[in-house]
Amino acid sequence: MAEYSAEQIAAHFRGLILSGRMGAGDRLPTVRQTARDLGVAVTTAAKAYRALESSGFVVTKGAAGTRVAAQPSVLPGVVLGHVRDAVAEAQKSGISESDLLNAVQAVWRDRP
Amino acid sequence: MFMLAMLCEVLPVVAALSVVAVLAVPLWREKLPRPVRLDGSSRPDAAARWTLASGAALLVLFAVTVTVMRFHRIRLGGQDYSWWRYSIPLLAACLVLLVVAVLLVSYRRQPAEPVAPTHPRTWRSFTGTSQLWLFGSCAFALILFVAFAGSASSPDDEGRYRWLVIDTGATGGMVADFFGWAYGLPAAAAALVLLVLTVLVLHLNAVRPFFTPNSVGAEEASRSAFSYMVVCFGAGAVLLTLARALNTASSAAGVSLASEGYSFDTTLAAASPWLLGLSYLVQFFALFLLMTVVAVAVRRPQPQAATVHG
Repeated sequence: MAEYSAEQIAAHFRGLILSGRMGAGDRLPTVRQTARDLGVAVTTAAKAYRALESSGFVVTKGAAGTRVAAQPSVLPGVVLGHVRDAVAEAQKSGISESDLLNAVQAVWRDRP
Repeated sequence: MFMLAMLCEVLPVVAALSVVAVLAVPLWREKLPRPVRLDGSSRPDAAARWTLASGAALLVLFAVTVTVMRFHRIRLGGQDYSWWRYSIPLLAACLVLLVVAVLLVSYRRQPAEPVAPTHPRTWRSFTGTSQLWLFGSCAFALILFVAFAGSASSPDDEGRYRWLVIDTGATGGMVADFFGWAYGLPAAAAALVLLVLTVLVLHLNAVRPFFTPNSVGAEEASRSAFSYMVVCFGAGAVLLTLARALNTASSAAGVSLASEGYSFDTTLAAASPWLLGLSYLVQFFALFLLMTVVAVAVRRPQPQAATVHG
């Protein structure tokens, strides 16, 4: 089992925010919970949160915890809609997550 | 009165039959959470459920024993003052929750395949609002009754507020053993400790990491069922204490003194029958909650595949 790196953790939350699964003002899990869930050191999770904060995705306000920033750079609604449609269609057809991601990457690479 | 005393004797049986009846009706049975069979080597859920159910069964046994003792006019702890007389179910419940907390903490396992969290999990994550209201109302009712009974109580020779006095003025008076501050404050303190421990166990139950992405659905269902049991257990213990306090208060309030051709009642005499009726109702509800904990634990766990989300 490969251990999560701070970059991977930050990418995970960035994905949740960009895909609209976490909206502005939504609370992120605590650093401790993230570390415990992923089986990594608290410092690794904290590093990921700092990276998210410095890139403007989240804000940390003491006791209020870490929340999604009011206006993080999100995917345009049209793109997000297509992504959702593709996921729904893939699930309906029994296509796995990894197969879909591979297809997206292949299409991305094929574009000039 | 004799009928009420008989009712008191058979109350645990009535509560047990009610739980059996609830479980016998499929519509009601489906409303009870059903534990999920998880990989025994990975999760402490089954052990924690059985610890809680054993504690609930012990409390039910305790309630039955005390009821029988009261019927035969034997007092728990003898005639002398014992601060723990009414707090003992709460203290026992605290002990059980402490054991459960230790189980949850000591059973930490590194996830086989880490599941990245998508939202914060807190002590409220697997507990319904209605369940929190249930426990909160029970604790509040106990504390309210402690304040009410305490303010009506009088001190004994050593300054412990545990009597209800019939004051007859010049002709002297008499005292009856009562749920005064001397018993009420330890009970209220134990209830608060129980509340804190309940929140702690709910928190420990929620923050455990998931074992694999495939088991998230099953583990969430298992944690919900466990939270339900914890809240019912805590509320049951609090209500059991409240029922005993109400019963004692009713007995003391019903005492009357005949002196020089006059009959003297306590200041709470009018409330005595209400307190007695209420104590039976509260005890029934307490036993029902505790037996529900046992009922959830003994339900056949559903297979994990049935709860896994896609």
